[in-house]
Amino acid sequence: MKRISSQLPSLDSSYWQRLREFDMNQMSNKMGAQSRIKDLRDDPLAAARSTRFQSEAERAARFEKNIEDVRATLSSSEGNLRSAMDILQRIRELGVQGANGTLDKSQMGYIGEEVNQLLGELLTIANSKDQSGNSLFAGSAVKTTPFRTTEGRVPGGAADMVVSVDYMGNIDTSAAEVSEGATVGTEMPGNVAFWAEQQQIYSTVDASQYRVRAASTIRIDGASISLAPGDTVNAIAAKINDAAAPVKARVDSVTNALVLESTQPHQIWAEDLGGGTVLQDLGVLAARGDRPPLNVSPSARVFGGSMFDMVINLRNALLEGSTEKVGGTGLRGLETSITNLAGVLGAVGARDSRLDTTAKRLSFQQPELVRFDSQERDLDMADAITQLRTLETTHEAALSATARVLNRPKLLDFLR
Amino acid sequence: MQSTFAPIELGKRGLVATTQGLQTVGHNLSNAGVEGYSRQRVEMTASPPLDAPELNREDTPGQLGQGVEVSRIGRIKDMLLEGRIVSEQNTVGYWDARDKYILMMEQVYNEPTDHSVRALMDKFWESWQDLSLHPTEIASRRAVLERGAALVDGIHERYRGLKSVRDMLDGDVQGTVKQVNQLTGQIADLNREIVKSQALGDNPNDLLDRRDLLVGQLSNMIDISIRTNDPAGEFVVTSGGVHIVQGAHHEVLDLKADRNNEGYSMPVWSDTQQVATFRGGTLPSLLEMRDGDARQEIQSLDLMSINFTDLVNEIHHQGFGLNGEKGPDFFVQRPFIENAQGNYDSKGTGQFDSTWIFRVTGTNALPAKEQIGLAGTLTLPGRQGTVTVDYKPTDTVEDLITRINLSGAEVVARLNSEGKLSLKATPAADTGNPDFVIRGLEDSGQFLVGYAGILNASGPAGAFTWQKPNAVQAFRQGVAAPAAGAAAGAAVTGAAEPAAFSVAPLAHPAAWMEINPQLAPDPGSIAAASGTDGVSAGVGDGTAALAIAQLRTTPVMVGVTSTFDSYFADRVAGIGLKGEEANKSMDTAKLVMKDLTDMRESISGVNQDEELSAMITYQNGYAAVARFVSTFDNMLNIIINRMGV
Repeated sequence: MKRISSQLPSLDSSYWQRLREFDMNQMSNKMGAQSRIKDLRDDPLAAARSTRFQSEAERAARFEKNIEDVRATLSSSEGNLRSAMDILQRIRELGVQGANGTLDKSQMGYIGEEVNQLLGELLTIANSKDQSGNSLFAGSAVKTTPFRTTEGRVPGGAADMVVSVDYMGNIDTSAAEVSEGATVGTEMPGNVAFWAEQQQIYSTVDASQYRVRAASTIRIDGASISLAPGDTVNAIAAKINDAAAPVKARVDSVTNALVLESTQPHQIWAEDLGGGTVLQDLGVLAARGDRPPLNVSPSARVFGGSMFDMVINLRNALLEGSTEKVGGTGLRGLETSITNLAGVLGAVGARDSRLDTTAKRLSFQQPELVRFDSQERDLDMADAITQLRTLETTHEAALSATARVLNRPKLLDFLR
Repeated sequence: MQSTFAPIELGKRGLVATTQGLQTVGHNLSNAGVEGYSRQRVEMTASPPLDAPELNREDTPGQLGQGVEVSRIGRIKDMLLEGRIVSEQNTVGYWDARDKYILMMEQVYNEPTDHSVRALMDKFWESWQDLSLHPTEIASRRAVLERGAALVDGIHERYRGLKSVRDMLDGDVQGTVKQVNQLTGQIADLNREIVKSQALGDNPNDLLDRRDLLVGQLSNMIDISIRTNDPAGEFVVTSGGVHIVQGAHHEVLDLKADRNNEGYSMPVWSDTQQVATFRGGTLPSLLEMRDGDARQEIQSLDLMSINFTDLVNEIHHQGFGLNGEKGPDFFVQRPFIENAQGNYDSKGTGQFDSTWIFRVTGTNALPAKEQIGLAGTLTLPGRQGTVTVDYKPTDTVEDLITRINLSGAEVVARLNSEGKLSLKATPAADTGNPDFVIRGLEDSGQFLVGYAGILNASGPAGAFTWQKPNAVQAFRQGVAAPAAGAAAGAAVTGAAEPAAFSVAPLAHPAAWMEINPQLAPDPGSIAAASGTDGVSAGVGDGTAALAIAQLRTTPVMVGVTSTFDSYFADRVAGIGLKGEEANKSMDTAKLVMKDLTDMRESISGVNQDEELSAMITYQNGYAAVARFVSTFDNMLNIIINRMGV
């Protein structure tokens, strides 16, 4: 190609100028937007990674928020539980005082009155609500007042007093996600926090001949257990023991009846699901389909009570003026309550410290994710300015060269 | 015997030839900037001398020259180079169109910014997280609704963006087809003129230049090759074996709307009504993007939307609202097929002729790691025909699900939140098949039958096929199949739980998904709580909300893009890589083209210096010939005036 047409130099220079001007425009656009990815094609893979980092960072920020929220609820529960602990300590002091055998009946009665007041305070704490009016200790039935009291005459008492306390909440603990796939329970069912003793339910129905008739499901403490037709009572007990519930089942060797025992102090929560009648047939649950925990069969014997039961026992013993009862079952019950509450407080503290660790990790991780994202898509200013400057210099040089070429003398200039 | 005035005649011929040469120089200089103009040259030859060797020639020695004459005015053009340019031009046209439209689609994505669909979905999940913490607060519920509405708007917006790109592509296809017809018509007309002119022995240079220019424009739109048929000199333009221009005749492209392809039109040859296929140029590029890339983008958005709505609804149905009632649909889709059995009249004949089912879920919960202990072959609909997936007793459920999902079948499998096998249809690769319709299920063994509880019976007899009404009877129902000819909507009742199925969408899910309008006036019915046995776990329970929030990271989608996060990353990378490729290929094609056109310019372009020197040559030639004439005139003057008759 040794021949140049007159058009060629100007065609050439305009072609390259167009490309360079486009590049310069892209570069200044990117600088304006502070992003090295103006269109996805600029770096598709970095853009894809960036979308992941952005989503992950957003998620990590959400987990941090969740943790804050859960910790706020926990600390308000913890505060209440600590007050309950203080009250229990005070009641114990009073109980010890009442059990020393030097007081007469009326003095013990006064102590009993004070314990009764403290019981009221304990109930207020157990029924306390958070800032949005949700009960703290009702499980997920947050709009329910968890502990319902029944008042009645107590021997030695001046007026009607609380004679029994029933748990009306549920055992469901809603969960919050605090890191990828890991959840933490947010609520504390009152029948765990304010419980004192291991609970036992002794059925009185001889079940040696019992067989499950149709496939059915029972639920113990929230764990569903499937039963197959033909299961014997022993098979049922074995299945309950295998299930993830803090409850052990056995068959009483004398009565051949089913016995349920808690393995950590709490109220046992048993249900027949889907219209099944297995627990009912076994004499554990009542025929009428009440919701737990008020569905235990009247024929079954239930042992083990709540913290309130313990305090009520002590109070009644004091009002009765029985030093023996105060020092025996009364104080022992209180000790179990205190031990259990201490355990619950420990669990709350442990959960809080776990959340603290997670929060620390997230607070480190989240900025890292933001930084990764920024590395993927943010513009390196120094680099960009250098590139733009280079382009501009080249452009100037090219323009000046074009001007020279187009102004080159032609034959025309020399013709007369 | 030579005439006395012959030299005057000779001089006149010289004057005429140099004048013509000078005029051609003027023509070249004037047309220097005209697109497609090739410089012309006057070719001169010596006139035939006196005398020709004949019997009646004068018996004198030597042949006497008769001066100059113009033999032809030719244009300077390399026809081989022209052929190469024509064959390369379609690559430029192809990538140029592609680059432009892919960029438009990239911009629809709005990534990576805070306003993309992905960011809106992040916000949506975030609001469910919040609801899981504060299920009793109406504010959290409203937030879920508002964020959901924003997400739905975002998905609609992206759908509209992609759809408008597709519509624009279709408009461009129609315009291009018109242009092709116009160009072939003009080329055919020019052919007629050129043949006439050439028959008279002329060189119709300017017509030829014009024709080359039009051929160049045509080759930008479709891939063509050109040749000249000897001996008639008939100019032929062919493309993919079709003579689209042959002499004065040209083929016309028609547009035929395709019912299966949303009414978009395909170019067909007017006389045969055969679909016209091209391999390069703007037109196939546009068609490929309209029915390929843009369609796939919409399908993939649809796939995400329908899975998203289906999964959220699935969990929402199992949850409980503040009122203790089970959750209604969170998202609603219109228009879905109204017939509960999925029966559909696809041909418009007034008779149900097919069954459109999007998802079917088995009756049995399957553990993912369990070995199935069964052998057989699944026959599933594929991109073309069917694909088969074998299973052996040693496979685990998980293995088989992975195998189904990677088999290329247009049905994907997953275990739902209850561990039941759920089969869902995907978009169809072939435009002849509807999207999101399960077109067949067959199992030679017992996997889909007794094990997963989807089909009633194995073998071809128990197979589900979509092309008949009431095909859902093949699904496990717990009752004997009703007698043939039973009315549509036969009872699906039975002792055992039937296989659950949901009907297919009739239109693009991405365009028609909405938040259930019942929820806005009653945010309390958003199901945040889980429950068992028809009883809610309590108003303070947020487990169902959490389960929905966790959908984002659980492997819920299909095939390679298993989670929503990876779906978005994959789409972004996919369209970005297409853009990158289009951009690079366009640059390359343009550079190649520039080299070729530079070469053409070098051969055929006008150089002013060259023309000016030719001009001086002709000018001097003219002066010299004029001098010769006046000299001879003087000589004649001697004879006439001085000889003194």
